[in-house]
Amino acid sequence: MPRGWLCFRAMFRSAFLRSAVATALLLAQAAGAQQVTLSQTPDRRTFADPSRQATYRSASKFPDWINYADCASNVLLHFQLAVTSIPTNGSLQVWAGTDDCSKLEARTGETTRTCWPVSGVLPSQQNVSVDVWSQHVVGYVSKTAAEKPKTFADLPTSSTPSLCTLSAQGATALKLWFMFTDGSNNVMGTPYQWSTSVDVVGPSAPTAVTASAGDGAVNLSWTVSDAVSDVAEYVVYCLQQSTTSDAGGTTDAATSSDAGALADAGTAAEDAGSPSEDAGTGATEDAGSASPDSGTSGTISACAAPWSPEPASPLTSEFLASIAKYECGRIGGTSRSSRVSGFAYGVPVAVAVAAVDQVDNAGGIRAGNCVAPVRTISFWDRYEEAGGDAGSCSYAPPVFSGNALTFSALVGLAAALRLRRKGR
Amino acid sequence: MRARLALLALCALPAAASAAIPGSDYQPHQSSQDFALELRLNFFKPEIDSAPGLKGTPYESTFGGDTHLGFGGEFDWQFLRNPHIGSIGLGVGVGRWSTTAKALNYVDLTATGDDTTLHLWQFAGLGVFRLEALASMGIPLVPFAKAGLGYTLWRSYGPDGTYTSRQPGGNRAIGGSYGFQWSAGLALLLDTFDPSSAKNLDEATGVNNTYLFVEYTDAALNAAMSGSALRVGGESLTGGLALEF
Repeated sequence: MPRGWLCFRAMFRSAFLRSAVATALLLAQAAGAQQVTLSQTPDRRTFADPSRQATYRSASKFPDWINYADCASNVLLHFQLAVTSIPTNGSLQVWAGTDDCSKLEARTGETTRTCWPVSGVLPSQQNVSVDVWSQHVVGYVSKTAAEKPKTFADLPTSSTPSLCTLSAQGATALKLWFMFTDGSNNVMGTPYQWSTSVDVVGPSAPTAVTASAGDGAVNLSWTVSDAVSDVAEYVVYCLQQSTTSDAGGTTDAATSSDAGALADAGTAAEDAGSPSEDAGTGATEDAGSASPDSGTSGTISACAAPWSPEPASPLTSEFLASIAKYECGRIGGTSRSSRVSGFAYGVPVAVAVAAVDQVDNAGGIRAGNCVAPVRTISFWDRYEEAGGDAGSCSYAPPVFSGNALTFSALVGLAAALRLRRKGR
Repeated sequence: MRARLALLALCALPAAASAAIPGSDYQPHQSSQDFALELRLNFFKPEIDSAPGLKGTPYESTFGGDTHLGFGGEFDWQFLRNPHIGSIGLGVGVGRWSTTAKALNYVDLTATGDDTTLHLWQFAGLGVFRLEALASMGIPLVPFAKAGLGYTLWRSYGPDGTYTSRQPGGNRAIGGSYGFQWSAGLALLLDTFDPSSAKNLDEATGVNNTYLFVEYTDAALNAAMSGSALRVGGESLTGGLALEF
């Protein structure tokens, strides 16, 4: 089997495949004059590689956009066109740009070029597949006219991750233009346009990530700098240190470290509120790095974690994939705090927070201080320990908010006034 | 102590208000008057620790000894009224009060990152008497007294955001307590300071009188529908705005 084909197939498999299916109707009007009409089929998002289905971004995360991970792995944008009549003197070209690429000056002007070629084929049959490298689309978005490639020969022929490094946050909308052109670069017929956006710069990591111990939990808070924008979510990562070489995140051994305190009190249930067993899964590589704490302070000097020291920004796809198993929570972009529960008492937890945008770009990750969850005592614990036996009402009281009270008061006032006026 | 201060304030108000009377040309409201509405802010600390048989002070040890601010409202129907004497009415009150503190480390009782909270939803059915004799004589003060039944729904959340007990067979931190409560207070009639505006307000909206008031309340909510009651009553000092219409 040819080596080139193997490389192509490997690349084809490694990238997740996005596809747009269009129907090209070429109607010959007269000799030498082709009219190209393209229509979009209802289901244009098909996947040639089923294994990519699971990792494809959800509909709320703009799957048709190109993010940093897409670009870094140079995913193929796969389009399949049905052509009813192939022009004899034309080639099918794909151009990318923020303006109308069907205009000649947008493609050829030395100083006015806003479009650049990303793919091209000479169709020999009516079903035409066109693949576009995401790096070819991303790499020239922010380039000047002189820096943009003029022909297909100017495009790199191998994966070039450096093309994915842009500076501006946010999305840049652009279109891919599918069009037949003649020998003079004039467009034949009506081009087909496919809209996408390039967003490869994630928001900066939050600052001042502070962790405090909770009841089998870690409370996190953080701040953000003013320059950070387009944060869609904060992703929290947790790694509870292991006390044995095969802890694997289970909590049986760890909870015993706090047993003494419970025994002294002699009142609380030994296992009350004990964390679930999913805490710190995947912690085996850090086994033995910290010893269990008695839970007296909740603060530990250091924890071992894949994000310590913090990696440089932007975070690579490989790094994000490697820490995905430590993800322990996601919270909206306006939040500045989070509480993660389910940890063993007294066993240190390493935490970190990353900000991600609407297409899951993560600009950086910030590690917090290391804390050991503790057993806490609440008001109700104290009340019951003091011998109080109230409670256990099965009726859940309604929750009145301030707005509800105000609304009720206004309604009452309005009703009373109405009653008054009627009585006058 | 706070209650005594409140009573002192109530006693001092008449003198201050008398000095503030701008003139004797004030005329009481002109339109009919049947209702009263109060918007209330109160400083309160439940007397949970006073329950007999309780060892220690779980409330104060957790939330401290200070009062905390709550808010609420009251609506009265003044079914019997003589402008030269006063009014007798029936009222219903609702209030919301809560306090939050850091949960403590079980071992050394230091503060942790978790919160523990106590929430109260206070309801009352009251008989209300307002003495308007002073106001009818040109002294813009209306003493009042209330008495009736109070019922408070309560719930306490632990660090995990639930109200379950950690004690084997323990009760959930949720319930209701009821009992007798009474109040006494003094209202300052604001209409006397700007009679023309008061008259315009009456004509436009039917609001006859507007007051600022302070009120002392003592609620003995020591009973529960079943089992023991969490003593979520106690003394409170309330201030607010009252409208009669």
